[in-house]
Amino acid sequence: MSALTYSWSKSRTTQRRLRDLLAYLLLAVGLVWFIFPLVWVVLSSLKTFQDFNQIPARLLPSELYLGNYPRAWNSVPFGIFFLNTTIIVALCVVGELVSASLVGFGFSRLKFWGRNFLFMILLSTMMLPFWVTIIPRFLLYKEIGWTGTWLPLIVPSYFANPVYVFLMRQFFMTLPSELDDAAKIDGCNELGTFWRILLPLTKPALATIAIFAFINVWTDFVKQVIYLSQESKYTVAIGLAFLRWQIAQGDPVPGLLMAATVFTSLPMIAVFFIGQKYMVRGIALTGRTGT
Amino acid sequence: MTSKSSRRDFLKVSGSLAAGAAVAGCVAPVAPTAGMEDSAPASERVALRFLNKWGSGARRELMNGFLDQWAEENPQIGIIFEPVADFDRRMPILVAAGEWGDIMLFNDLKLSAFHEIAADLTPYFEAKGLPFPGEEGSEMIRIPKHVGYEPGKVKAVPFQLNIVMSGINKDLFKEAGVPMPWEHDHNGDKWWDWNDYREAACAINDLGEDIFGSQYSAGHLEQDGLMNWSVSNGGQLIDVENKKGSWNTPEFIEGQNFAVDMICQDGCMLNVDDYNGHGTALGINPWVAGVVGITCRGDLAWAAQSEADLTQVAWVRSPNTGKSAGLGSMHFHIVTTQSQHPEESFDFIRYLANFDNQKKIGLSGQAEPVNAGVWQDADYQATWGGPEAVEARLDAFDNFVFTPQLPGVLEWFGEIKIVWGPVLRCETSVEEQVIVADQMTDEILAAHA
Amino acid sequence: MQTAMTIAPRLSRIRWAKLRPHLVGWAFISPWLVSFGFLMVYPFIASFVLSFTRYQLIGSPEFIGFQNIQRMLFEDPRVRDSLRVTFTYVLLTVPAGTAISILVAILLNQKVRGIPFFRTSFYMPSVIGGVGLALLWTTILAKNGPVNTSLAWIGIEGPNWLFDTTWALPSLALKALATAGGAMLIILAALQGVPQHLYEAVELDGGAEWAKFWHVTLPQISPAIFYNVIVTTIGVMQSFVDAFIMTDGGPGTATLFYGLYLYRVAFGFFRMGYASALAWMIFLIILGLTILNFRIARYWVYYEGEE
Repeated sequence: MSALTYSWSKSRTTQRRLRDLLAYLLLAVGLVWFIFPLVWVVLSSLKTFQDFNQIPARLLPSELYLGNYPRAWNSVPFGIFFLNTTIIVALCVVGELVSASLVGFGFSRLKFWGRNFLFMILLSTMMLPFWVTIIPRFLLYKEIGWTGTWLPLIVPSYFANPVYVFLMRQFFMTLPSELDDAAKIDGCNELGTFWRILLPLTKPALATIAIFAFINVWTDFVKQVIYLSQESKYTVAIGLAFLRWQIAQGDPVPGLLMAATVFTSLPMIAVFFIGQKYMVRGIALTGRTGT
Repeated sequence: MTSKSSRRDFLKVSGSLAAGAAVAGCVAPVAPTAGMEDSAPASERVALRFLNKWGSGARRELMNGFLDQWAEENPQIGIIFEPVADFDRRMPILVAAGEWGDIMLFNDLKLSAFHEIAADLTPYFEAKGLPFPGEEGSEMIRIPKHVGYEPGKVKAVPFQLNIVMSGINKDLFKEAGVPMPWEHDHNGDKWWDWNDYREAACAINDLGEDIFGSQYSAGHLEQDGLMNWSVSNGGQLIDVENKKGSWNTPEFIEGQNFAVDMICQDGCMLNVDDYNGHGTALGINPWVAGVVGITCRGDLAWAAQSEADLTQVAWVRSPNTGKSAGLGSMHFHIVTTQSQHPEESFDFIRYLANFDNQKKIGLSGQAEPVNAGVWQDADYQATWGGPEAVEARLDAFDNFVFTPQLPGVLEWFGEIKIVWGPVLRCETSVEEQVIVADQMTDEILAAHA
Repeated sequence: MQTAMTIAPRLSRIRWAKLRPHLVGWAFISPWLVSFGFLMVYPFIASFVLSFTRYQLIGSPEFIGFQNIQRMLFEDPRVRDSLRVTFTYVLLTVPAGTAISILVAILLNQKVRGIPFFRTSFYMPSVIGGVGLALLWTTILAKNGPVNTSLAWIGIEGPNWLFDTTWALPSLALKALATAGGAMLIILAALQGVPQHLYEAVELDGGAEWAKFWHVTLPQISPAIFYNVIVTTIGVMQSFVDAFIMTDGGPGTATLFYGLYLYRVAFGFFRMGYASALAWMIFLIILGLTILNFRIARYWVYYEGEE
């Protein structure tokens, strides 16, 4: 009996091992596809011009050449672009947090006429292609003199992005309704309940939104390319595209572009590592990635 | 105009306020720039918004030098330099957004499309007693009739010139053992013709796998490429008088076929996709002027990076029938109709075209100078070819043909790439595609009429 | 709220008490109402109206009836080209992307070691996104880049990926699939939410691994898969940045996405009216696709509590 059990569990272990091996193998193939380009770009950024142009392409640089980094940094004013992007992102993140939590609170904890209908509409606007609205929005912003400024990038974030509203609503729904009742007994009105009682409990959701908003705004190239026109107001993404077109014209060397790609991606990677657990939780909660 | 602009200002202010209420700290970065303020007395400092594409690399350095010197000499006229990233595609958006600044750079094509936003500079020329560019006594070379001109008016000041020439790699010519362009003799005409060009290209092409005989043009599918091969043969792309496409003519087809045969039959010229994939390693470059640069085994910037020997490059006149030699493009500065300081702006764009600055541009190889004096300058001739090279370029310039000023030219330009691509990929014949191209041209001209 | 207070005295106390929660609710959602009005409804209607005009930005819109629509539907070859490109791209990326995200999620849901590492790695490209990722792939796919060098080792001469009429679009798809990490995380979350007792029930019935997958896992995660299909289809239909940065729509029209063409018409050729018509068409197409997706979903998406 015990021998039988043993052999049964042994074959089961072998089977398990085989399966794991297969899983690792497939994951490794996926890794090459997903991660190798990143590794390549980092290695390429450390290559000299001669290394870069070698045929066939070489994986490792012949010497560790750091010169691409300072040259890329100075080739266009990346310092200003980083500062600009940081300001825009910071203001947008604040806006998204304030507006999404207010609206999310409204849709989850308050009862009012048309709530469900409006929420349906909110959900459906998430599906609206942005090309439909882009031209009239451009004309609108032009008419009020906002084109060429950061306002078209920042102001809308103060008026509730449906995706984040949805996330906040989902999170508010997980909080027990007894909290509201207790707050009411303590004499809190809705704003008080929202601000004093519930908001402090939503920190994880706020963190999730902050991270998603950070990444989205940082990489939102289309809006930036349409609305920004002065170098003093450019963002990192435009700076990177700028370099790319200069290269198309044969101006700087590709090593610079690789270096610029690396240092412009660092903030996103850093935020991702810091906030990974919030992102995963947000995805589990809403079933969407927030993009 | 006044009521409109004041309404706009009101909207801007109220918009800013509304935004400011929501976004404390958001207003500061969007405060209107000095250039938007009302006209200031001459003694007060003014600031001009200056939009130009020389935003990186060697060109940025040159531009910074010009700006520094200007700041020293004219402390009361500040320049806010705004390099435009991705110039060709960004400029239309800037115009659309009403972000014109005081001074904008346009090439001949874009200026055709946007000439309405350019202020008339005639009064300023006249007030200073200056002749129009290219007229007797002017230090500037002439600018084309179609561009920047309305009858009796001048609306632009030239800044940068790119002439179509052949930049040849002398080393590769020697290596392949083919005669230099000036070593031929066709009944006393001591210059190569298209057949010589073809032989040279094919001989060089055989030198090695990463060496190419020739390329179609700098941008390959762009109008300059088409023009270079066909207009040199007497063809035209647009019949300006009748506002119709004129691709389907024997001259156009013959000129084009010469190029296309080199790609599709001889394989001595880079195929369009290979060109876009490589962008380097070229033997002959029928376009030249420093923008895309010298072709040794890499263009100007690549050559500079790889420390190639620039003396191996010679600038020569393209072979042609003599009807039309070189083509290319010219860049101009305009003062926009938005500018509150047109006079100061005019002074600044004249400054950029003066002898000293244009000589620096010329010597750097970033473009040909637009100042006539520089062409005669000994330093310039010593660096960029002796009298015969200068002669060849002036010769090319004299036959300079510009894109006609027609509405819809931007769309037409965008479509050329798509319509002519299959020909250069050897997927269809020149004869078949000229019919499609004519149709496309007619439709666009009609749609924008 | 302010308005509510001033109106208040005129109303009876009871009516006010009845009205108040509704007003408070509307006040809370007012930020969204503002953006909904100004940034959704207004542009939506405005672009519809603009569709019937010729508007070159300099000057004012001029009513031209159905000319834009006629041109869009029957005359403009680029509309046909860009729709073909866009639909091909959807077919290249959505099914494969869904399959990949399911596969990777299932692999990651195995009790193998190093899950956090793999999860992070697979999501990383999605985080970088935008221009950076596009540039990165441009380099990878260069004529003499690492992909072709690797192919040369096994004796294949790789094409000039991004500058080849046949390969340019598949190249972009290859790049787009590397951002399947987001969908993968969603499905992974769904997988982890599958109740364990369902698996145990299948085990008791003596079901094999595939039976567990087929009868439990797949139905349970099907809503997440469905959601991903919807969202990625809508996203892919609107693709822009990759073509803008990597190929500029070329070679020829090989990667002329609808979004890129629309951008060109609007901000390159200044045909704002025509571009609005194009925008409405893509809206209707996306709407149609979404409805179709929902219809098909009846046959394969499993919702808890349904029959």
